[in-house]
Amino acid sequence: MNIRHLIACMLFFYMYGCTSYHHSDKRLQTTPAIYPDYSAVTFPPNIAPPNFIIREEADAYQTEIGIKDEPGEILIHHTEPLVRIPEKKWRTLMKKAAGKEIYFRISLDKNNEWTEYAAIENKISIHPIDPYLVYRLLYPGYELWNEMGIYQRNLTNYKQTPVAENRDFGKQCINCHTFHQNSPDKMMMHVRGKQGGTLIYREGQVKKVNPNLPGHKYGATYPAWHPSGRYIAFSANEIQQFFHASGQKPIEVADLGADLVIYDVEKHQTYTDSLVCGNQYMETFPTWSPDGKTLYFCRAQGYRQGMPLDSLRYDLCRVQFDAENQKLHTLECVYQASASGHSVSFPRVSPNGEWLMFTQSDYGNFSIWHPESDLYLLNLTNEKVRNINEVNSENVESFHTWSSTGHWFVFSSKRLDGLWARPYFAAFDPETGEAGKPFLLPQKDPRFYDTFTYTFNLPELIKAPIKNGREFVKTIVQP
Amino acid sequence: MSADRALTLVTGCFLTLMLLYFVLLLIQRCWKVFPLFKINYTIRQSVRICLTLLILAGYAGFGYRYFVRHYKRSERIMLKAEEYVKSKEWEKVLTYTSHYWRSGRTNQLIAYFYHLALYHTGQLPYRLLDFPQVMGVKSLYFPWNSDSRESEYGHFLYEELGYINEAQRWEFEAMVVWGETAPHLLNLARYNILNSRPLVAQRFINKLKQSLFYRKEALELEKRLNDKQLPGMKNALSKVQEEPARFANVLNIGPELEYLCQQDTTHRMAFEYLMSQLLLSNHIPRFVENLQKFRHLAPTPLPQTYEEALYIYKLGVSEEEFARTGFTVRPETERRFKRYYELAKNKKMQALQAEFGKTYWFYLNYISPYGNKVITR
Repeated sequence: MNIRHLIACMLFFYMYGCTSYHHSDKRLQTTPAIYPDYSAVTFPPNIAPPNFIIREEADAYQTEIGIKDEPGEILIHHTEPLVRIPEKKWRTLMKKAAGKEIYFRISLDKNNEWTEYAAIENKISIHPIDPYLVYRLLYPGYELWNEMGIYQRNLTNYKQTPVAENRDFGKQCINCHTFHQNSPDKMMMHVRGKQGGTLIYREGQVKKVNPNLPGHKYGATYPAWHPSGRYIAFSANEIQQFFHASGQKPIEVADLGADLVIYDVEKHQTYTDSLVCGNQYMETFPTWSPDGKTLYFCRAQGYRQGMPLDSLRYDLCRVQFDAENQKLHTLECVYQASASGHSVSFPRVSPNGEWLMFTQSDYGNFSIWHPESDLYLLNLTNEKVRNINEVNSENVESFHTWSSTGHWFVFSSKRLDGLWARPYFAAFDPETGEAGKPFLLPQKDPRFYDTFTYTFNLPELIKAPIKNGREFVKTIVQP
Repeated sequence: MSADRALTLVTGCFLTLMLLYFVLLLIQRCWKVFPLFKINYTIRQSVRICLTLLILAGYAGFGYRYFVRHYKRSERIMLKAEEYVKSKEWEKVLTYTSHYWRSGRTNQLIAYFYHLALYHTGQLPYRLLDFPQVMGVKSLYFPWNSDSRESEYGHFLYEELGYINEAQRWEFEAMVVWGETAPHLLNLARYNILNSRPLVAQRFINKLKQSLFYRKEALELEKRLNDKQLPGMKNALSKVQEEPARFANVLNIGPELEYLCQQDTTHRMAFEYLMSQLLLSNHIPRFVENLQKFRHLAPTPLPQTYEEALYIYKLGVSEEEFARTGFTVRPETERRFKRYYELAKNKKMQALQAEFGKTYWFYLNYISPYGNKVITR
């Protein structure tokens, strides 16, 4: 037998081994345990293959993937419990499966006996998700930092590219990346350090600006773009960290003072109003309604020396904005969380303006360090508030943002281990306000999260990739 | 020049010579193959050997001189002390750090290790003032200064105290700054096991399992993931329910030590550090107050330093008030103070230092960086 025959034979056996279907000797009614939990979730049709690990012991594994009530389209055999779905085949399947259900049918070979588990079923939405996710990667640490960066991940595959890494500008802190209506054409971020400032990208140019209110004690911090793209509302905060002496909560991050200001990106002017500025209250986390007429924010009693930090509770408030005259007026409390011993943070209005999602915890506003924090939904039509049980877990659910269509949202959750925040996505029905079971950002290697020690900070969905990362870095370092 | 660099040069020269030797060996092998190398020796073999020996002796001499001139012994002491702190060989830590102090130098890290070793060898209350405590309380601990260099060391004390949240904080800061090295990952895994956060510990263990030399240790820790305890380690605050939330004072360890003593009334280390902290910070009334409160943890008879501080307190209050403390000062101590006072009044500094240099009186009057007054507030 010459070498060509040998290779041909090997190829034949390899192909046969890869595609041959093992019929089961036994069927179980239960579904197998898989990690990440990709069962009964709703996927967007443009998501990268959700690779997973089968958490069952066996000699060999077979996974069949297909549309419900139809023959399987993808067949994967492996001696390891890792299921890596071929990207091309997955994409082909997704084209057909939009609006339908798909199954993962898993069979295990134990001692030469194949056992088939009940199929894991997932829905495929007809609504694609914004294809890019932008986040900051850093250690979920305390005060010191070293390397960090803002990255964008193509959700249709596994490619992550850096937008700006602080190793390129003296390891200064980079934070608070924010987009105008999920578009990379208007965005901003802060840099803290010797070359610090606020970087604003608009009309094809990056500019370093100082949006701080002249004479005001605190610097501009948490931003929100006005729908017109002309203004950015900032909260100006005095933030401090405190460290729990015992227990499992390591850190409390609290405001010792906070006000709201509005920055005009055209005139480079900042202004405020006594309604949202002063010592009596602390105002933070601004967010606009889609029509730009209302500014929502969180408000607590002003901090006084000696006040217990766990007595600081934030309510959800709103103030009307007259864009023509640049005036704020008519302030009202929308949801008084403090009355029931709770606290609100990160309000976000859905693109259709009918829903407001926020995080609720027991106290404070930095909910990422509060295991009890959950996502809540306020119906802006009837002002009813509900816990979004379908997406919450026993651990932290915190920062969240809507997709441009409002059919999806992404949020940070620490449900895997309690320390590292990971992005989860959930389908949302803008008509009913119901959300689907969320799923974890898929990775090429499903074991990725087992050893990845950076946290995903501020996940934001965008419609197209950021292409001007280098300009940001150049602007930071230029004198 | 750092110790590392000095060693790098010496070993670098040695390795270069080794490399040259191998090159020569190779040339020798090719001698017959390449006619180019067929050069006749013009020097006798005995001369060649002598020349080689001379060069080697020159190298050794130069290396020795260079090493002696450039090598920082103090840095070596610090490295060795740290090594023994990590392996908890406290007698050796004492040997190295005492050696450093005896040379008249002061260094916060050395002082920090020295006091840890003093405590572990049961000598903290007795030898606290053996060396001039010019740094005051900073010789006992590192106040949090957001200093990346210091971040490597803070966890030692908190781990020994069983103050796991603070140990974890310091160690995590160190990992952020210095990278995911195995010692940091091991400690973080341990602290999270002690703090009942097995899933967090598992992440650090997962990283360690990928390493060549720490896999075994990682697997051992993995077996204990849900134990909430580890041999030789404790979490002094494991049963504390924070209501209302209590936050650590990261600048001043005093309130933290007092808190540990309150939470664990058998916590001798917290007690001895608290006493040392109050003495070194001139807080005599608070020292007496806490000595009274945690009397059961104090050695009997009271260490000389404690009694000297008590006597100062006695001098500042009425007899009735002192009697209420329940402590007495031995006549011997009072007699010694009279002698001290006499020498101080006559400004006989040499005699004073020789006779009383290790007393609390001398520390308070002449060394304390917080002035020579008792702080009463």
